Amino acid sequence: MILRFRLFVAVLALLACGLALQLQRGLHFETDILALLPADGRDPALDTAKTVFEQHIARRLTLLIGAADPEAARKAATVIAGQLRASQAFANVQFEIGKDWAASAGALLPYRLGLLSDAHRSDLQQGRTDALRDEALQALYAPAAFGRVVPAAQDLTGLLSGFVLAQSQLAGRATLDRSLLVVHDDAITWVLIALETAGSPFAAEAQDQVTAALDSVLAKAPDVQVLRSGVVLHAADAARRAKSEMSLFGSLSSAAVVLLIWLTFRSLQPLVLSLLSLGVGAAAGLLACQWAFGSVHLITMVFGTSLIGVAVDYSLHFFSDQFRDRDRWTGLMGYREVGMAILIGHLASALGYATLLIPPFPGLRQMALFSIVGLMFSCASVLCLYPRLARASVSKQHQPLVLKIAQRLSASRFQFRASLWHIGGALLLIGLTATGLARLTFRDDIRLMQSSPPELISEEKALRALLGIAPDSRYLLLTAESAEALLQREEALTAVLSGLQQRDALDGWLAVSRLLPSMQRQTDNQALQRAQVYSANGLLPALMRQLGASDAAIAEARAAADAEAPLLTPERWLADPASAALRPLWLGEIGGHWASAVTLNGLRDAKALDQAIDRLPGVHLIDRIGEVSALMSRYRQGAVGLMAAVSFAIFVLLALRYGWLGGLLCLLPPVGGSLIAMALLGWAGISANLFNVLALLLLIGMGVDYAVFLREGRRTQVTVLLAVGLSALTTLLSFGLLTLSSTPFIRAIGLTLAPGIALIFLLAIWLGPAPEREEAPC
Amino acid sequence: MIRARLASLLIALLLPLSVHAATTVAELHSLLAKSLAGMQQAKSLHGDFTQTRQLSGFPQPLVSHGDFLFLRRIGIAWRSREPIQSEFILDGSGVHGSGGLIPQNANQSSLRPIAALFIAMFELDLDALAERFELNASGSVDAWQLDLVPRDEALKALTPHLSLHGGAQIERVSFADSLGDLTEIRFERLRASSELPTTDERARFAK
Repeated sequence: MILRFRLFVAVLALLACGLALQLQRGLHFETDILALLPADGRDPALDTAKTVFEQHIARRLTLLIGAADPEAARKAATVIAGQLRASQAFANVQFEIGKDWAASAGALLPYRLGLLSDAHRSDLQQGRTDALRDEALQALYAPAAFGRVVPAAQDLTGLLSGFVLAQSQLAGRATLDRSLLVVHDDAITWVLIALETAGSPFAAEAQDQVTAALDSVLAKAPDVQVLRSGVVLHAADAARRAKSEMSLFGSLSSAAVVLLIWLTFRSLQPLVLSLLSLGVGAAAGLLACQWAFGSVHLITMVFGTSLIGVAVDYSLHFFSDQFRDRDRWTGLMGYREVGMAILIGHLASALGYATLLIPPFPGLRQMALFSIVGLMFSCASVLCLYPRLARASVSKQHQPLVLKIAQRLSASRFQFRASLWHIGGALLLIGLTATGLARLTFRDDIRLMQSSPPELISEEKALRALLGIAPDSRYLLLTAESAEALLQREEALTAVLSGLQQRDALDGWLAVSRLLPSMQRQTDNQALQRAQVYSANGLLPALMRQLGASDAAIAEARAAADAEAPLLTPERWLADPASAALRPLWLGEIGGHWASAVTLNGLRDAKALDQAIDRLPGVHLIDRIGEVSALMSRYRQGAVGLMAAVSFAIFVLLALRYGWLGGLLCLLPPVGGSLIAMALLGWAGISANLFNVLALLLLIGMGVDYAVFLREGRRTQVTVLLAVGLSALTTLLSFGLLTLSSTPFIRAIGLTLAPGIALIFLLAIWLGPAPEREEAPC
Repeated sequence: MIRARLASLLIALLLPLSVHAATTVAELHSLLAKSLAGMQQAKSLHGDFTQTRQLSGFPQPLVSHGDFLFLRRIGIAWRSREPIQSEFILDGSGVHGSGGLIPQNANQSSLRPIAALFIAMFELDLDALAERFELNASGSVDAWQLDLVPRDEALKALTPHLSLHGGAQIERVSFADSLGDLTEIRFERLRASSELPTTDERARFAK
């Protein structure tokens, strides 16, 4: 016993060193909700490409600055963009986009032979040069250069302007108005500012920088309306809520535990030792997560606060034992009496938490690791330290209220017996449970698991409606052996997407190859232009003759096509400021493969898309929401089987000690309580998901404690009842607090656990053994 | 009265550039009173035009003839007849027309600013123009010139300089655009009407 004590003190010293070391290096907290979700894992290169792209998209932030007077909106937006640029919170502030475009149109001149819009390309392929000539003449004779982007002398045919113009239609309803992107609704002119955060939107520093910059800049512009959309806003909000929940739940749980211990024992020692055991557990859990995962998710910490109510059970159970004999009680006596029950209870709980390790959800695994390690250290500190440190400390006069309740409960003969009332009650309970379970519905949609404040969501909706975009969470990833092969695959894909667009299955898409045709396509376009535009009877000579140009001038213009024409390469395109808007789609070389993304707008027929891209090599439809939801559904169904397996394992374990009937009676409260908890969800009309089912596993692991404690403590019914009652109360409180969480899956776990624990406690007493009368407690 | 104002105007024009002062809107109103009265009350305006486009880097100017119809609060139908046939509709939502480098499909409103500029010229709403341009008037009631220089950089990118000439009516408009092209439009046989536009006239603007 002394050896164990010393060994554990040594372990605690190590733990303290480890904690000090980790604190010096800094604790890392993660806030990315996606980090809680599983990676696909089938294709590492594809996973990397996904991550690169999604991280980039996550950094984007879009602002719309609106005012009734268009000029006021422009002025305010100009000031805001300048201040945001100066704030250092953003790596990129795209505002005067038109300036880049105008510069870009000039930069494209050397490559104009290879650049054709889809419409002009098909006109030339079908030899419709007369129509193109008339179109060019109309443009030249128009009262102003309506759509032209380069001087007429450099692009007489308007083919380059046509190419650039086709790109300007990529921005949804937003239009270029004197170099700014602008949308109008009935009364208000909105100016667009596109931002990119300097750091990861999930890093606390970047969130603080962005919110501080936005708040201070927008506060100075009170006369305009502002609409915002961006992942960083959601992430900052989620982090803020998680932090406040963590401190709220943590302090409420701690306060309740302190109050309860004080009311029950009226002594400092149980309080100090309990808090020590909790602290040891929390520190160990935190360290384990830091070491195993590199960072701890804030959501894990929110869930982790519930550990306070669970881990304190060991201390409560230990100290409650002293009510058995207040005069002679020592720590060693307590250890001999309840040590085994505490260990068995801990193992069952740990087994429950261990089931959370099975689904490949990193978030659940973090929670499981945090809980198992935390409980293990709490339990170990009770079993190793208390036998030596604990003394009888409760005064003889003190009769805590909870003890009186326990005595009343014990004397009430609440226990099940074969009377009409009890059998009738049992049957009614079974009937209600069965009908509740029959009403239970499941919804495995990961979108229900994320939460954002409604103001943010409606702001985002308004912004999207104004811009006329309905960005889909699904997108396409393309991979190929080379940059050129990648662009060709994109072109094959966009041809298919055009078909879908014509069938109204899709509103639009964004793809790099629209601005950067493949080298093959550019070479084809050059040949097409030489044959149809610059030939002796081509479009250009015909046009020039119509305008009265001399033969010499025509010959000179035609000669421009004879020289070797350069190609617009990916490197050149990326260096052009006008590519900024689409640059995130170009993922470059990843693990020996080239990758790019194509985003979808207004996808109405996902099935048609799936079929259409099925034959295209190297094109992957990425549907994170669908993937994760399907995974959740699969694991939920698996978890039901797992629940049966875990129940059986616990049953075998219990049967070895208590016999078949005893084992069954121990198992009945947790299983019955879990089923009733689920039935309650059914009656309440709340649809369940994976997290409710996983909470059941936890419930069985923890709930079996109560039955075990009551059975183990048959001789000392009242003290055990007191201990079980106290621990059920603290656990109920901790899990009850989780139901207040704004994170839906934490809430789902709380909604199952809190009523479940209460039900199991009541069932455990009801179905538990009657006290042995001969030994009168207290 | 008018003479006195004109005299002060001329003095202002003769002052050195450093003390350059924009003409006040009130002075413009009185100078352009005659033309404005007709045009501001007109519900519609139609006439013929001769348009001369001097494209930058292009030796010979492109001259075309046609007619136009301006309907207040609806827009402008600009029809070229010689040497090529085309028609552009300029209205609050942008520029519409077949071919001729007008963005088709979704994004027609990208030409909204230029359409708005044309419409403002025809409306001759001096208060509205004065908000966005520095206005300078010169000449006499019978032969005035109104110069417009955009106040902000963004508008300058669209047109660095515009000028209107007229007497009893507007006679000539000239402007430069961002690509360095110069356009001069002469109006002939202008007829203002205070009648509501006919259904036929309206039909030209129906999309």
